[in-house]
Parts: sequence; C-alpha cells; structure tokens
Amino acid sequence: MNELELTKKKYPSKPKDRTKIGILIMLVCTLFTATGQLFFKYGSQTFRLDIVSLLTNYNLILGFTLYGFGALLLIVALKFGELSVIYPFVSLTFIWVMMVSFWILGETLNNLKIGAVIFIVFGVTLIARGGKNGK
Amino acid sequence: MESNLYLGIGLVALSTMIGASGALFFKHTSKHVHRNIFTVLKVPALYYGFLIYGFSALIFVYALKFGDLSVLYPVASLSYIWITLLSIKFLKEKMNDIKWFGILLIMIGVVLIGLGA
Repeated sequence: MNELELTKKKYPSKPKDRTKIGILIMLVCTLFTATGQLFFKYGSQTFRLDIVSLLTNYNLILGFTLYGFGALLLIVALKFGELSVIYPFVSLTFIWVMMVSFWILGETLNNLKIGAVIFIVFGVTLIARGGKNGK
Repeated sequence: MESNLYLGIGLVALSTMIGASGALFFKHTSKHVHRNIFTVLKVPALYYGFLIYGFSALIFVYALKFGDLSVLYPVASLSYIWITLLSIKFLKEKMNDIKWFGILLIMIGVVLIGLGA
C-alpha cells in the first residue's frame, strides 16, 4: 500500500465530504487571519524597514504569529480539496475585518464599503462553487 | 492624503500578486500532509511559501500606513483573481463561466471600495 492509499484510508474518501472538512478548517483559519489584520494595522503605525524596528514591533510580531497559524490551517485545509475551491473561503476574513475596522478601530462604514464586501464574498463564493460543480 | 491612499492601494495590489505565488507553494506542500501533520515541517516548499507570504505581508503592513483597514483589506481580494489564474496555468485546474463571473464580482467589489473610500 503506497502513501496515497494510506492517506485516503485515513480521511473520508468522498470528495464532497473531504471538501466540507476543508471548509470547516478554513472557518477557524479566517478568525486567526482577521485578528492578525487588526495587529498588522496597529503595527503599521510604527512600521519602519530596519531590523531593530521590525524585531521590536510587537504588534507586527503578534500579527505574523496569528497569520502564521492561519497559513498552517490553510495548508491543512488545502489537503481536502482543490486550491481554487478551498482558498476562496479566506474571504470570510473580509467580513470579520470589516466588523473589526468599525467596532475596534472606529473607522467609518458606508453603503459602498458594505456593498463592496458583499460583492467580493459573492465573487469568491462563485469561484468556489464553480470549482465544486463545474467539471 | 488622496494620493497616499492610491499608493496604499497599489502596494496592496503588489503584495497580493506576491502572496498568490506563495499559495502555489502551500498547495505543493499540502501533498505531503499525512497522518502526522508535523511531516509538513520537512517539506522545503513550506518554507518557500512562508518566505513569500512573509514578504508579501511586510509590503501589506507598510501599505496599511496609507489608509483605513476597511478600505485596504478588501483590495487584497485581488489575490483571488491571481490565485485563479495561477491555478489554471500551473495546477491545470479547470476554469468555467461561474468562476469567471466570480472574478468579475470581485473586481466590481474592489472598484466599489475605491469609490467608498
């Protein structure tokens, strides 16, 4: 039995079920990434391109750590489906980041911004659907 | 300030192009995920992916100086367009009308963000 067969035994073999697991992992991934964005924004205020400044920018480091965890989860999720299906679920992050921008950073929201995020999320979802059904 | 925002948007666009190529390395890495998840740590492509992602993130953070997070973050959705195109070109994944329409919606969304800023 080769490695590929072993992997298929371990994980659900129906492609649809595998994709669902991948999407669930992506949900957790986006929460990490969105929190990372918040700290990136804090970190950008003192961002300068020199080593000492980068290594003492704790917001930036925290942002990278959260982002790193998100990326690891993305890799695991990618195991469960095509890149063009799984990756678009990162778009949930757009919704979380919009909420964070408004509630925590006190940025203004308007209909154009909200509409834009809806378009983007729909667009990303269509790419995912297209990958799932469009053979 | 206005021209600064456009600089921010341009930098975010650049960072997404770099980040999208990092995703290809992650896809390659994912082929090596087995029962023990830590085996991925031995895959060189993982580190190339992280390096490229990290570089793209640095550009992104720099870009955040030049505008609101609620404006600049959605511009990062351009990465889906690059990802889709790279998936066709390098991973031989299939393209169809639904995916093209999705790309169109994302482009409209990014334009709306520019108008709403």
